Amino acid sequence: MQTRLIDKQWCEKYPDIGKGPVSTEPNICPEYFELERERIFRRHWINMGRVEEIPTAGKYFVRELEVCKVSILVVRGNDDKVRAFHNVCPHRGNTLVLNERGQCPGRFGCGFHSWAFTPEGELAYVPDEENFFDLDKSKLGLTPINCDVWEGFIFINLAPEPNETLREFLGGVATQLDGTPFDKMRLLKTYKVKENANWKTGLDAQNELYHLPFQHRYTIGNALIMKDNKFCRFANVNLYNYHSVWSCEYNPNATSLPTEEVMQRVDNALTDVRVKQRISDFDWYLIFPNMALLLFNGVSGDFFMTYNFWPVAVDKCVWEMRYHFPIAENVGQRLAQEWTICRLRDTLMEDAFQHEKIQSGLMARARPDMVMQDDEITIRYFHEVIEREMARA
Amino acid sequence: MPTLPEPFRDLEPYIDWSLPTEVERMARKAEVPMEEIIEFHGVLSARLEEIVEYLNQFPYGEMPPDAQSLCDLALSLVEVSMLVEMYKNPDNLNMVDYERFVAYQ
Repeated sequence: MQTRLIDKQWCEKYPDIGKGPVSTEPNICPEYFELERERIFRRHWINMGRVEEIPTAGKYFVRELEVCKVSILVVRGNDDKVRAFHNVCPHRGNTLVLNERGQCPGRFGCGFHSWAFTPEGELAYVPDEENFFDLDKSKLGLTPINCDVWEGFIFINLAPEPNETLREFLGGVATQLDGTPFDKMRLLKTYKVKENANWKTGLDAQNELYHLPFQHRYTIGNALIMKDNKFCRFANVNLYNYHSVWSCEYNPNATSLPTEEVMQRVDNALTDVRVKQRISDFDWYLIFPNMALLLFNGVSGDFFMTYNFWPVAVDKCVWEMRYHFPIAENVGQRLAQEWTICRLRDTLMEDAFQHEKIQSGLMARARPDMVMQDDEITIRYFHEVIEREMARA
Repeated sequence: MPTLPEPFRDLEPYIDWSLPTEVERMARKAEVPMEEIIEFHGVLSARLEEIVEYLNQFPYGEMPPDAQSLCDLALSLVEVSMLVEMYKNPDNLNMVDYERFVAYQ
């Protein structure tokens, strides 16, 4: 994919997308945030993590989905199936599992009265059962939550009956990325930062490259900025029913930094995982509503990242960043991966700083809207999809 | 007090940089004066190739303690390398405080 520097080309590719200013209200209005809890986060598929986190029977993790005030237990059953449940004992509502992750020791036992549940969610044991009235254990299993897996990514949907399957929801993203060797890579590092910013403010700021030559001028340098593409215009943009992807090329003439150069030279066994599904050197998917999936052509081999922006309040969120790399075969590879992680991390620390500055600026209500150019089309589209979904009663 | 493998004993004066976690490495980078960081970077980067070749004889995660100390030292070089080789002046950067940017291995 060659970057073609044609002005306003994405708008021509997608003529139905607007060109006017975008309202700031969704990023700052408390009432809007209250409605998002229901219309965005209780109705759509939400990424929880990956199957490698729970590789064997009984392995589990718990996600606190604060925006919906639910605690979600994701567990692999003895039948190898990944399920999600409300992390709540059906007896009298106590929170069942208190650890963030672990191995179910045969049964999940409630700390209140020791009711015990199998990793498949069935109620297995009730102390002093004889003293209950018509107790039907088969109806008192853990309350299930819709759960499905695509290419190892675990999603849940809190709607009693989701409008569409995960596959239908992912649509063109799934078509583009089916068969990507995500399973050949492992979670190597997670960062979390509590931000004083609306979850969409953070996501919007990440969803373009226009800021790169400016905000990241010291940290990214010439890796992406090219003589003939000095504003980091995209090589490609695709919009899907809910989601979007933009892609960009690296600067082929970028000079390596001294430490990077040593890593490249001694790293004789560059990991051989190659993602042929990549559109360009770097693809950035927004998976509606709060996830980004980033595919990189990296110096230590291909790798991917995920972002999850977890809403907390209208002006608060948690930004979770996860790096997944091919399994290193030696220390040299591992050091090269660590170098890559550190380099990106510093730009993300700049981003986290910026997200809060943007939020406070928006909340000052100096203007009612934001102006966006053609290479900010995926942000504009995201806001259109948000508005569309929020309008559904 | 960790010690380094025999061929790298001359790096012992920099042993305070041999820190097992990223949080500790970030904290040290934030606390130590820039001149000291530049000196550490200069000494370590001159030996990096040799260090990596030495460490590559071990599978990752199966290093003896002295090799692990050397590896942690190299990770501190990774931590400071962008600052020294690229950003130069930490005051140029507007970053969220490192203590808020929590790393989980």
